Amino acid sequence: MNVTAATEALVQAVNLSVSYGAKRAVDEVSFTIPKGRVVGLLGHNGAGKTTLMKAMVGLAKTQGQLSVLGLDPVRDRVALLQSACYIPDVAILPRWARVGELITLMSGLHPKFSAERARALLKRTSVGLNDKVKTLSKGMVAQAHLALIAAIDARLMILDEPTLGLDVLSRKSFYEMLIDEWCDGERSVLISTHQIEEIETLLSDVLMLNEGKLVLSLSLEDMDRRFVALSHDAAVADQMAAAHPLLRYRTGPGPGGNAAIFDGEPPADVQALGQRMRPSLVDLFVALTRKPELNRTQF
Amino acid sequence: MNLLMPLMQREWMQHRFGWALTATVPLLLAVLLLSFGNVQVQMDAEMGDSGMPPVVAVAALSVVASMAVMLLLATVTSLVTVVGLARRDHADRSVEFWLSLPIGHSRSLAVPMGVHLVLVPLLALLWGALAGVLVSAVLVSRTYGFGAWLDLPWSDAAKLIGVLLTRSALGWPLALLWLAPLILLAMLMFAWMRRWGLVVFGLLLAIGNSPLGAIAGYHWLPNWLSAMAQGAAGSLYSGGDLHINAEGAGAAMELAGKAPAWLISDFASSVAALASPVLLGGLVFAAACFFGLVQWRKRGASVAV
Repeated sequence: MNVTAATEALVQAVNLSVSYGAKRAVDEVSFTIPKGRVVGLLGHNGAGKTTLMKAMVGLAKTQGQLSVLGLDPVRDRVALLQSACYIPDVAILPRWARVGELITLMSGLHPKFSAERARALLKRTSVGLNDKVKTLSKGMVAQAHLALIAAIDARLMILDEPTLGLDVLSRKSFYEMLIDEWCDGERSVLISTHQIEEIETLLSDVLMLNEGKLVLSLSLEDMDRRFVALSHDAAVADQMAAAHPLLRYRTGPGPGGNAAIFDGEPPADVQALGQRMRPSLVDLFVALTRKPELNRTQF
Repeated sequence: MNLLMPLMQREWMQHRFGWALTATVPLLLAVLLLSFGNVQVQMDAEMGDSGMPPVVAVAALSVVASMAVMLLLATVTSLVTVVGLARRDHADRSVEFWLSLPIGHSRSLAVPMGVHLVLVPLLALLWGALAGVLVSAVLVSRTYGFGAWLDLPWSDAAKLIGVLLTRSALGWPLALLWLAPLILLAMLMFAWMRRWGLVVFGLLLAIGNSPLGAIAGYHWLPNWLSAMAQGAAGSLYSGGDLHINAEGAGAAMELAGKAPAWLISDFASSVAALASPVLLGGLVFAAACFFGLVQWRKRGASVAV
């Protein structure tokens, strides 16, 4: 993900840090997001995902360099938000408003908002234009919020836990819309979520944060090349452990349901002990973000 | 992109129900009470000496009282809204939705302030004048008969109401300039300390105005507050008298004829009073408070994670 020229990068962060008082929520992270990518931002609770996203839309003061769409997010927040849309971590809309009123307001407040598109997107949901936000369930508020944001003709979409509270059908429907209709090869999306399995197939790139630090920033193609998982029998577990994998875990019941993830090609004699398989994003996430001492105690 | 109208529209969408209640409930109560209550009109000496026929004086008082009540109600409700403005979207967490839109912090604060402090009171004045005509119809009908109300000198009355409205509408923004430091300080303190901010604000004013404040050497505070109050009151009516010589039916005509000149001279006095170091200092203080509010909103955006 770092190979694209800076001019094509929609987001470029160099040694970026964000602090709240003495606590450093984001710690010296560097990455780029080129155009036309769908990037997953993964991390445990408190890893700094929300803070990083807020920094990207000018809602948190930063140290280091951060350029989003070629703009300084804090100094040029208003200009930036005309070309970047953002959903905060909870789908929150003003409770006093009707959904139709929000469309009217957004039409006046956002130069790239399409009321027609928002109405079309809302028709696919159970939310009506005359519904008051305070009468909607949490999932319906999220649906309405997503429809409003997806109706913005932006170059960058930043979604912080966008499907929180949505049922599985609504989540699937939203992601389909996002990939099939919103993404056009020029626009990029940054999504943070804990439902990693659901979005893994949508992503082109992944950023992993752990306690404010960026532990992984690469494309999924590179991820497949770089990380190797070996499934193996319990009988060879000690030999696998001796090869210092990133993570050992169970893939299923029975003595054969064990696996280990390696950063890079494991030695040939170790490879011979198991069967090569593609590591899932979830397993890699666990491998890279959990505390090392847990590696041993989990078995 | 012109954000003024959409931001004003937001206020309309959010507050229209409350505004409708504020405008109609007092009027309905007044009409009901005057229609079915025991109404007795007693002219005091001043009104008796004004030369106005009693029926005209009663109608005029109805309109003036209605305007004053509506302005007072609108001012009180607007002040309550404005003081909590910086925090109002935090309760339902929708502040994060608003912050995700391309609207500057200053504009997000200034436009609602303008709506609540300027537009709403001015519309309340207009509504008060219209409602006053209805109230006068009920009151005059109860005391002198509906025919007397129809026989009122309506062209002169319309001119007088127009002058009064214009004078109040011109003076209201000036009065706000005088009161801006207090309003913005209350907003800032509420933003920083929530309800405790208003408690501290009230205590500061109370101590400053009490003998304790005088002992502590805070003479400037009561003097400052007094100058601001006088300036605000003088912005609405700077004390220019309107003498009329005619009596009876001619009094209203003479009053209507002299009113435009009075409006100009009285407003000119209010404008002249703006050249005051107290006002200048107050405006600098108010600007500092507004800057503080913008900073709080910026900081609030990052703290509300």
